[in-house]
Amino acid sequence: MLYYFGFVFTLFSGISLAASPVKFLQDTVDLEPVEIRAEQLQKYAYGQWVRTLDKAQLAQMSGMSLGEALQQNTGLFVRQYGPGMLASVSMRGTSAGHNALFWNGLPVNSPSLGQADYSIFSLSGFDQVSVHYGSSGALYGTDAIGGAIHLSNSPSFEKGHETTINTRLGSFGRWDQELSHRYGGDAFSFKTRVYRNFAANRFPYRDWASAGTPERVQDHAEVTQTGWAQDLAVKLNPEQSIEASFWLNEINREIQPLLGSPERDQQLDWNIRGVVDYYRRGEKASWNMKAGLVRDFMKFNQEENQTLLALLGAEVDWEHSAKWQSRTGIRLTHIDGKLASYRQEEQRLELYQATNYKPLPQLGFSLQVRQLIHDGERVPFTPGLGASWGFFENQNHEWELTANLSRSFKVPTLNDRYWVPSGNPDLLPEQSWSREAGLNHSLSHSGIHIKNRLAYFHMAVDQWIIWLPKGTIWTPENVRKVVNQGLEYFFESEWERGNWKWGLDLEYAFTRPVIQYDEQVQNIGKRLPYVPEHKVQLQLDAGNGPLSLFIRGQQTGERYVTTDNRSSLPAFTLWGAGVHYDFKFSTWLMGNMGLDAHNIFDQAYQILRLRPMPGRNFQFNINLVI
Amino acid sequence: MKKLHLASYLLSIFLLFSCGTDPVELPQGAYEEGVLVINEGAFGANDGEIFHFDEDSGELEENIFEKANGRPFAGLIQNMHVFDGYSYLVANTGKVEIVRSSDFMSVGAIEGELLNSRTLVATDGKLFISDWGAYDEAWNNPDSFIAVVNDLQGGSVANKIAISSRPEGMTLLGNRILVASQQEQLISVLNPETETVEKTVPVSGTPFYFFNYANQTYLYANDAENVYVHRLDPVSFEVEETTTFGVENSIYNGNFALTDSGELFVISNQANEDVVVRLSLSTGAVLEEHFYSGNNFYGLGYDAATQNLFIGEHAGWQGNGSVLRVDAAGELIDQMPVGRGPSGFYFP
Repeated sequence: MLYYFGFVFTLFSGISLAASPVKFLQDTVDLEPVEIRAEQLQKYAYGQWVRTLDKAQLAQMSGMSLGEALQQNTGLFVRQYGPGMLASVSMRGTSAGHNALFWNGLPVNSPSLGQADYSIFSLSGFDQVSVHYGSSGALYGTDAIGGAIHLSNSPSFEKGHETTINTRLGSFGRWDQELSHRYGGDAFSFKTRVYRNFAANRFPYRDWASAGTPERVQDHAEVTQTGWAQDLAVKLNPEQSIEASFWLNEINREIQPLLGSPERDQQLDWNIRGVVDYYRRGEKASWNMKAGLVRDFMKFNQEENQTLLALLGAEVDWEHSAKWQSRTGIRLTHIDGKLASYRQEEQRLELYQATNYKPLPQLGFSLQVRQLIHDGERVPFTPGLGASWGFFENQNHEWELTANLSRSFKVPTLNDRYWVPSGNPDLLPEQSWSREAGLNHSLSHSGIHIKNRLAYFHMAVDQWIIWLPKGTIWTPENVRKVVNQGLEYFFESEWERGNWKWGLDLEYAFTRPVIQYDEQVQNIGKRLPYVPEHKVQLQLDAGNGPLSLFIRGQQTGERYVTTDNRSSLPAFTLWGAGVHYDFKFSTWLMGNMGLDAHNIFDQAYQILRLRPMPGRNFQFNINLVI
Repeated sequence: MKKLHLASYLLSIFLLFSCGTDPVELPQGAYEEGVLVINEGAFGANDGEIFHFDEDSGELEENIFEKANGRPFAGLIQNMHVFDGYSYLVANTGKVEIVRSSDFMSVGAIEGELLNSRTLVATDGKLFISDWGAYDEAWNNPDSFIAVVNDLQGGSVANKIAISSRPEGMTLLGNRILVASQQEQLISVLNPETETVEKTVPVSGTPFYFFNYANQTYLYANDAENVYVHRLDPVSFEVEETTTFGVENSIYNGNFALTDSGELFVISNQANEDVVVRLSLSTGAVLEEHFYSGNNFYGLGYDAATQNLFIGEHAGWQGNGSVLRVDAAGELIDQMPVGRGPSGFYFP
């Protein structure tokens, strides 16, 4: 169920504070008042951390895919196979399929692959990104072992009409356009967005696979993406509303070949997503009923795969008292996969319950439980327990301790179980136990606002599914156990000097996933490949009236290439910067323009081995608001 | 190793050298002694490489191509051929890279027009490269070809000779090139001068590689039930005699090893293990059904000097593999980590 955050959020020049659970998030500053509507992600997540990239932050990243935005703005590591190519997220050292992705509450990880391609999610299709760090299977269901990412849209009641036209030109043949119109009346609102993003991706690179290592220009990485996103919302009365969102997306990609390979693969993705929510908000109980549909079609060269996911859900949120809250829900999912080598249907039924208990204003506990049944088989019962304790508070400082213990799971994908000829129908769900502890601190003094969070996590993932060769075929088996440990540090600050407003954000992740058991003995004790031990991201913002500037940097540490840890890719550091200017020609014509530079120092780097990435590049964009 | 037929081919080259008139003795390069381990590399990673193993000192040198050239090989090495002081690294990712055998410095390459190259022969100043060609919608290779390059140190492809689908091993016999084509299970006889296919010869089983033994040319083939060894007529190129060994599920990549006494080692993928089977070419008998067993066996090589068998093990393709050295009695000597997918061995 959703609820409204009625707080006023301070934004300046596109810089916003991140949202998180409990006090760490409940920041109020006062610039342009913006009503933030967020999903109730953190309500039953005491002890965990939810970070939100809101509309203003997303605007600063316009032109990026979801994968690029997460890579450049968070401590998450995104495995990108090239600009605009397949991108998957690694949270807390997990694999691509160990993170759940939702759009307006609908799971959008592919049921056949068990993961999402973060490159096909254009930032044009949603208003907000929330990252829930850590195991959250009891809250969200399958896949949320390392964490969950939520994309959501917000209705804009009482905002009147607004049309925006956005054009972006960039290096290496980029040209994006977006047209959107929104209307927000007292009882009705809609938003229509259409977009076309084109990137020729003709960037120069050093061809290490060829004799003499000549410099070449990438000639097979063109990406064309078009889409239409539609939101509708109707307030039936002050307590009831119906909200609907629809998203049609097409992306056609030349697949950037691995260095040394002559392939010229082509991939077309079609995605249709629709969701309708009914809300009834009462003083003691609030109801939400949800119906949604996700249809994915993917054509790789001549091979076609399509999946359909239909979901029906209902939940009720009880406010028993100031001390007790609870949420109870049921979710029914039907999956129909029509893949290149098989066709298979699957039903899932989920029952879940979450309860908050706040014996003291500074102390809260969350207990979540979930039971999923798929095709009549029960996955292990999934509980989660979290706590948050604000142990010190005065005029300037707030200190808070958090802790969480939770179980998560991942149902084997359709391909894992039914791929012909080598699917394994006897696979068990992957399971994890996770525990974490965190310390939050916030400081407000003399116009300076600072927030810190330091968290330690320990996660054991068992029954990890690996595809292994058996003679001439490969088949998946539950063969691996991995223990991930790490630290996460978040720092956010803002202050004012004269007419300038400043902000500095830092995020650091230390991640060490170690293989505890594997069929291959030599892998035991080794770290998972393609997980950097260190990733640092920072951003400095400055704003003065209509002018705003930013400098952004990130360092991704060394990554092992294979599970025996005998070869690795070097760390790389990327810097970017941008300048934006808001203009107002009249009361009916205003907007902003900006120039961004990425990879300023023209670093030659590869996120994955033998897959070159673009060097220094620029983007110029104009956004007109009518 | 899948290219042991080359050993005899190379032997003839060495003999040519030894009978030549050049009195100058060139010093042996670092990689012209010991054992070269061919690590095929993993699909999607292009991490094929050559390792060098010194049997006397027990030292293993990794990534000798990358060390010599300051860049990764960046391909999947299907085969390595040595000819006239040069080693030809044939990648099924569409290139052939030519290095000096002594130090592995690259001297040339063939790139751009190859797609899925398999093996290579050199004759009369030309290189002939078998190539499966592109896959069609049904994962067949209807446009297989033999690429002709008119320079032993690489360059562009001068001609593409259409050939029966999935050409694998090649050899020179008399003044013709024989090409083993898997899809239609036949040998194509190619005239290197006119660059035309003169005839085809059907064979039993899926043909892989040619080898020479006791002045005869043989072709190794298999199917799910048997291993076939075809002895070829040097004039008509027809099959003179076929020896059938009842070895089930011999490995799909056609790897085998030949000893100097006419024994063949073959990998059989069985239900719970991989088994090395020992066969006799002269008697046509299976000498040992379980010469050595283990898991993830992928490549074989036989060192005539020490009579040791080298077994490449791919570690489930989850990381780099290893090499097992097994003595003539079938006892494990040692096991050493090597690169990704060790598929073959070359004994200079």
